[in-house]
Amino acid sequence: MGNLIQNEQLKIYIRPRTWVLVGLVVLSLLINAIFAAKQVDVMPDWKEKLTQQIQQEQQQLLDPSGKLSPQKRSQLQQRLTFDQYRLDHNLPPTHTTSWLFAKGFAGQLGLAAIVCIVIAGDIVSSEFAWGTIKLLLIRPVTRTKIYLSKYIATLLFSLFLIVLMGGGSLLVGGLLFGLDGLAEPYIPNVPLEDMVPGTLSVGQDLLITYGAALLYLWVVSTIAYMFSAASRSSVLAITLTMVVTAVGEIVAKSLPSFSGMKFWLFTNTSLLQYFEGIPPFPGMTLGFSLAVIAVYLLLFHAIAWAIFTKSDVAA
Amino acid sequence: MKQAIVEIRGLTKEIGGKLIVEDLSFDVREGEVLGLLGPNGAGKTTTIRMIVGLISRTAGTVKIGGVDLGRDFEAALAQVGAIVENPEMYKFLTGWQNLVHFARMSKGVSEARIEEVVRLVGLEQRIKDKVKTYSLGMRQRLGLAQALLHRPRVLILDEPTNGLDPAGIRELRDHLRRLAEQEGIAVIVSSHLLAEMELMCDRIAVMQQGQLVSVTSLHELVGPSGAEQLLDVQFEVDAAEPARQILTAYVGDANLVRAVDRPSSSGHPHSELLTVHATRKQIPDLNARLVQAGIAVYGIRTTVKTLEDKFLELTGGGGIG
Ligand SMILES: Nc1ncnc2c1ncn2[C@@H]1O[C@H](COP(=O)(O)OP(=O)(O)O)[C@@H](O)[C@H]1O
Ligand SMILES: [Mg+2]
Repeated sequence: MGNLIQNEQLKIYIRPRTWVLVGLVVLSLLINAIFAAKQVDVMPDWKEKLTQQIQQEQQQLLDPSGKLSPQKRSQLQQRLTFDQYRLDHNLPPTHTTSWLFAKGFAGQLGLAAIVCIVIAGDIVSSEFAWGTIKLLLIRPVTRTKIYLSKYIATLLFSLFLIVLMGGGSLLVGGLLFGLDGLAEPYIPNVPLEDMVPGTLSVGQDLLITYGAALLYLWVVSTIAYMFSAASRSSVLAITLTMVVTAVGEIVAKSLPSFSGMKFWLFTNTSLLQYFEGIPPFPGMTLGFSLAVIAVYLLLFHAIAWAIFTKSDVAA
Repeated sequence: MKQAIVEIRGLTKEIGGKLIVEDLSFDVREGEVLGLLGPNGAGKTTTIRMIVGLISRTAGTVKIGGVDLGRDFEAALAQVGAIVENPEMYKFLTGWQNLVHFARMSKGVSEARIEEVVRLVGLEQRIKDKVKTYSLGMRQRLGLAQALLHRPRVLILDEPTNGLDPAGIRELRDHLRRLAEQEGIAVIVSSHLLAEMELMCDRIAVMQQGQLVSVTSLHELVGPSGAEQLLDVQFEVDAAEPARQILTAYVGDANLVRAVDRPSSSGHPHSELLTVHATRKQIPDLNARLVQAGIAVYGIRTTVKTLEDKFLELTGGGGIG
């Protein structure tokens, strides 16, 4: 297997096309850096503003009219706790640091997702287009091993891209804003209900953010890989994956009231919702989402693997 | 008799209710070059694809070195090197990188072995160049190289002479003969051109419309030469019936090929043309008997059967070439 994966890696990284795509991601990083460098940093009067905000929140919590729902109340309470923590520990809310820059860049996954889709959507079907599939499949290696090695190479490419994005943005961010502040406590904009301020460092949060981003890339890569192995056409695989992903995301966002939607793949793919923000349906946990994703991916593989290993190669 | 390395039994392929290959059975022995000969569409490529596992078998078994392909794909294919149709390689890689790539997919192919194979096919000069700069002939060589890397016991080449010039064909033939004779490799080559098969193969399996018409050694197909060789001998006589009796009494009924009536034309009296299979030695005897019986013999013509004639006979005149 090691040899097979090495072969697949060779075929990915030796092609100029791959580096053009990677170059686009690097370019977007640089554009981000230019905009971030121009941003106005810390407002000098942030302490007064934050104090005002805390007073407002305390007022609201008193709730003279009694309209506050228990859920709203606890959210408000949580925000108050964090704002107070910020004030006590002298952490300005709007300053830009290298970690914030890196986190912001992880939020722009669209381009990276497209790059992964192109690589994954092409990796099996291109062998058919080149005619090399015949030479590949008449080796003393089962088709299952070929299938796995190509899939692992695809996942490793996503990993490479994520490491490049994380490392690159920290580097660029570090050059612009310095590297200190990574051990600072992390304070999300919308804190989770049970989160205690100061338990998560900025560095740890960055790892979580990039981990969640990697998982998202793996999901879209797997869809593209499935279409590539099953359809044997790169154009079809890449187009279908983009359409499926786009429609899937739209459906996930547009049917918030139907609780069956929690089993929808794209309701579960942004794992960051378990670390900041609010999961769309009660009962959704990190473990639940991971399980849903695993079931979908296994199903995709069962179909694509069966087609790839069983069907005639007459190309 | 040398050991059979490839054993094919009842190999059948049906696609969409149509039988593309039907109940094929044959063996290929160590050190033997077997030609798979048949017109375009006869099912040669389909047969080869089944042997190397690119397509499934509707029925039948393929054994390579005693290993059933359906039971242990890896062990069977470890003994096979092949080119199926055109030798398509990775164009963005160099010849060397292509070979390293395929070498990694088999066990125990050292760098020294890759170098050896490169020398064998004569690609030393260009092996570090990208395949996209190669001519068709060079790609054929590289294709042969990738098929030989892991020292296969069986080499399968589908229409390897396509696109080669006569010199290239000659070279390929010499390669194959050497591999078969010196390394004991069993070789299967397919072609729709009889002339090429004639030069390369020890035995020829003739396919037509998905069926095996015959498997004959080239020796048998061409037959013995010299005085013992069976010729088509045509006697031009005036009386067909008595002549026929005399001739068949001598060579046997089975050896009467045809009797044609030749009507009279200006300056040429009516005559009969009788053709029999006979050896050169028998001709004077046959002639003497005819003359003794008072039959006028106007002429005797002999024709040697070419391989092409035999092939046409076998395939019932189905188009070749
Ligand atoms: N996948 C397929 N579907 C339907 N017919 C096919 C398929 N593959 C081959 N054939 C038909 O099977 C016949 C044999 O094809 P092939 O094995 O390529 O012949 P050859 O290599 O002897 O020229 C042809 O008539 C071809 O049209
Ligand atoms: Mg063919």
